[in-house]
Amino acid sequence: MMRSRNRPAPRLSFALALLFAGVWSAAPAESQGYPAWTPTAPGSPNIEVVSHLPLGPRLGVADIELEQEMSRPYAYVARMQYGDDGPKGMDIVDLSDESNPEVIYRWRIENQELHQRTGGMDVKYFKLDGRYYVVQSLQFGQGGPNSDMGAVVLDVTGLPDASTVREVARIRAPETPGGFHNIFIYRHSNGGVYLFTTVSGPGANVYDMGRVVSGDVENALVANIPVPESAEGAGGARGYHDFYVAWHPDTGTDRFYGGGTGGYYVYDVTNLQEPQILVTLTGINGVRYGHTFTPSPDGRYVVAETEYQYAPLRIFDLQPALDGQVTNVSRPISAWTADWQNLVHNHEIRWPYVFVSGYLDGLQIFTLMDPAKPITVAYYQTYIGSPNVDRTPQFQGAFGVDVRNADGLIVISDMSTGFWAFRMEGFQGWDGTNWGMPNVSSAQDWDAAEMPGPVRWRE
Amino acid sequence: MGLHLALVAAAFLAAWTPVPAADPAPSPRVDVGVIGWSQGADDGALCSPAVDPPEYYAIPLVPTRQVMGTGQAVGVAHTTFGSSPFGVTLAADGSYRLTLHIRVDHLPSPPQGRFVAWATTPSVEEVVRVGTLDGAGAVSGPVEWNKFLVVITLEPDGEEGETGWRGPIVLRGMSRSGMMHTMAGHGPFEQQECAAFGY
Repeated sequence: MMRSRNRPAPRLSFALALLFAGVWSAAPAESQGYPAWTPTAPGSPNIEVVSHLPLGPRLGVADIELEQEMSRPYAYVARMQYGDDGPKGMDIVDLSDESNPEVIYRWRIENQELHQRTGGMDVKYFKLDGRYYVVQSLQFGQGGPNSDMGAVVLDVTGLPDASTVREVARIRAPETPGGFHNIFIYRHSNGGVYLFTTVSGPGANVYDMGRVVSGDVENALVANIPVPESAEGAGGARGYHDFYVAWHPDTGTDRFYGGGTGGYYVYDVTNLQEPQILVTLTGINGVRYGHTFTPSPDGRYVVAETEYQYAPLRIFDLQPALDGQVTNVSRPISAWTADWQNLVHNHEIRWPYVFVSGYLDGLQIFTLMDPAKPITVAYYQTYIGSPNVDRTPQFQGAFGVDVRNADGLIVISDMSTGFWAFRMEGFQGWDGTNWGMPNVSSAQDWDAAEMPGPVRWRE
Repeated sequence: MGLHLALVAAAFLAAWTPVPAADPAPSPRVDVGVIGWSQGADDGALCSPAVDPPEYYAIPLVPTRQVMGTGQAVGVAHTTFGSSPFGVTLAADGSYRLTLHIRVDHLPSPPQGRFVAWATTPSVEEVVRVGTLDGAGAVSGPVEWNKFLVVITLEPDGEEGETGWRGPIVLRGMSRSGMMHTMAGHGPFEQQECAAFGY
């Protein structure tokens, strides 16, 4: 009865809401340049498809990593089984002829049909003492083999001779079964190479890869970066989903940027045994769990992802916190998405560009030239199909993205259509100093003679 | 005292008296229901039980589609306890002695080799050969683990005495008890069901 008497008011409210929504959404749509792709014109004119290599069944591909040296044209593609079929492991794609890529090696977990859950997820490479290694994160569930296995490490120095690839180590975390979802490899200012991993626990594990490749994997776990307690999680019910580690040139420190329970967190990890929390980003409207979290090369701005439909990438300015005025930042300065009905996923920053693997929206590239007003500059739809009906609808299409700084090659791993390589007109490579920024990105400078490794200012 | 003795005797009789074989309704035994169900005494005639096991005791066997022509296969396995007047049978190490019954339908006749059933621990560290599937796609054999996997492979020769499979995996299943996990592996981002895929 009460509802009946009040019925006219909701109608008016609904109409006003529609009007407001139309006005509100029109402006971002115009300013951000939502792509209008079609099956016959799937990309913006400034994107060139260099190559496309299907890799197998639908929903069988996860993340991707591209080596940075031009003399080693290899991409590593994680293979998972998110659909009904698919391998569990990793593919090595040879881009010696980048218009005709070729899978030259496939690592698969033995008896993969008996392994629970998805298998390969994130993949990263590193160089140490002149040898090249790739780390494939793995997730196997309980009830089958290897539920304690988090990653496999392969020596890939001898590529393109696939017969030389050999398994170096398997990293296990029996205290937190379920494997590693995301990983990041960082050359620390102390000279070490460290693998940061998510675990099913309230922190990120840190492994000394020098110990791992030398055979001392049992003692390779050297640190843990905690997830602060928040209103969204306390005790053991906390975890990271993704992270990024980079040198912070203004302070001369190593910084960890993690997304997880409650939001996002920035730590000083110069001393890995005593990580110091610097900035929290919690209490953000619409954010209970942070996902991917990537800073600008100078560490001032951060791009923050959350993993649910309709969620845009949020851009935050950390300067008030870096200046010591506040310790928590909860209000973004802007947001960007490709299509508000979908969800964009991982991203790589090559300032001012942000390269996004946008799930159902394919490759997306936007600029943060004005961080308060991100604008789409290019796109290409790698997945022309409908959202899932048998899995989470939005978890389909472009999953991972990477960029080769030397020449600007862009690669995408699409969950269903496989491997893609692109070039964007006017983007022939990236060096942060050309943009008035430190030359800091996810690409590490393994061969830098002086510490800190990843930073080099132009003379 | 006399009443007590009578109650004890009655309880003892109730405990060891097997369910009549003619009982048409399978009667899961509550005390051991976590890992098995009973259709009565295990007389070895249950390779292809006329009555399917109850839903929560059945072990679905899922085709891997790794072998041409086997994608439509449908299988189910279940366990019964070995014959005993005490309801359960234990191995020397204290584990339950179970009989694993496997039945697979819609398997084609392979041009080469035989379909062989195996049981293995979840870590695949130990493997036992259950046996070769008969013409009806059925086989039974002993298992002495709480949690285990059921594996059907296409073996090139199927010789007895093999200690592990060499051929491709055609179907696989997980014991119902294998679905019990430690919560240590279920973090805040573990949103998928444990067995939603991969099985």
